[in-house]
Amino acid sequence: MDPAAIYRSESEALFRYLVRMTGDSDLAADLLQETFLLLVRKPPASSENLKGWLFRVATNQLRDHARRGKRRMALVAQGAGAEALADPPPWPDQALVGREECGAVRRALDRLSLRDRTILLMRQEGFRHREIAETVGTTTGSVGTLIARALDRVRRELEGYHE
Amino acid sequence: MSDFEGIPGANGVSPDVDGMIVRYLDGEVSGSSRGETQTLLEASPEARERLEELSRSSDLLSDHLADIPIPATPELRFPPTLPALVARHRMAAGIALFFLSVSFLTPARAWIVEGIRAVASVVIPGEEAVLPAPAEEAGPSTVSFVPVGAELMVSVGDHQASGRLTVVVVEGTRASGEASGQGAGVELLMLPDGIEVRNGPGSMTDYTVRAPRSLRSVRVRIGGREQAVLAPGEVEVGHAWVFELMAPGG
Repeated sequence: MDPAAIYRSESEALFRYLVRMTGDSDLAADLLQETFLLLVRKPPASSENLKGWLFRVATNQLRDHARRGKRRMALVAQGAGAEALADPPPWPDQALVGREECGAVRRALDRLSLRDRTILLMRQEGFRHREIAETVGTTTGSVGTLIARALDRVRRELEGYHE
Repeated sequence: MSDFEGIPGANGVSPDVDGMIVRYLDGEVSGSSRGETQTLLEASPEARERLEELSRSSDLLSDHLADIPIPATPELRFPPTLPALVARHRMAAGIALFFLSVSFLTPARAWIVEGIRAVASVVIPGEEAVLPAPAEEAGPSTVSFVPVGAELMVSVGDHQASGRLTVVVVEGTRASGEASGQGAGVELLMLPDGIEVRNGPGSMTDYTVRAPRSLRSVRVRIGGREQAVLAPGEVEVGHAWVFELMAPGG
């Protein structure tokens, strides 16, 4: 396994996915590096479907990052008193808005749950329903329904933005 | 306009049918499922309308996603290795060369090399060089430390002509490696991820690695290839795995 060669072949799609997922190219770059670092330190048992493994690991890294951010925000809120608890800072999605120019689709994606965003953006990268299901922890059969639901939400957001 | 919040689904189409339509759109159906979907689409105007709606939504999303600017993919930045650090930092290189020259005169060469790595990490702030914490005195061809994390890597070079690697599960928190017998150019190095055995061509040495039972896994890599993943926590203390070492063609 040659990590540099894998990086050359897979990093562009993975970076694009992470930028779309986060709306933050700096965070996406960090997650990309962390994912390939894990590829070196803890490589998958099999090199079969390496692309799927990379996307799965990157999505897990993002999920962990979001959890850590939420914990940090909760601690900040506890320290700041009741006013802060009543209106805790949004994280990770809304806090990212404004860090880069956000169009209608950015707003629509930010309003989706992490799971629904993962589903739509992995589908956009051409993944099969089975691979998407493995990443978000659901059954292959339910992915179609989840895609339909997420597409409806995105369309409503996009239509609402332009009205 | 459909509203999926109100089950049973958009345009009166149930979520099950929604799923079926998306699978059809994505080419995820085959054989009888495809026939069933086509039959449904022919019979139900609502289903056909839903297919068109989902297809339009999918195209709409694709079009908008193309508007998100994607910066150039960043270069790969792996943590710097010791040679890279030395090349970039002359002062560290000088210190390293000094210690290296001394190390050839002492039996504790592995420890001196690790000392250089530690010095490099201090001299160059911000360049992470995580090392396991040394736990006790170690003699020639022996290393002992407290592993960082729940995983240990045992890596053996590919020049070994013959010998045996034994990984034995022990109590406590310390891992140790030991080379027994005489070997040509045999070294035991303590690395951030575990133990590395470097051996010269034709060396004939047995190695014993003591892995704490608290570790989640021990990865055994021989000649650059991963040979096994062991789980110390799943066996009794004293359990041993034995690997016969043999160089290609040796």
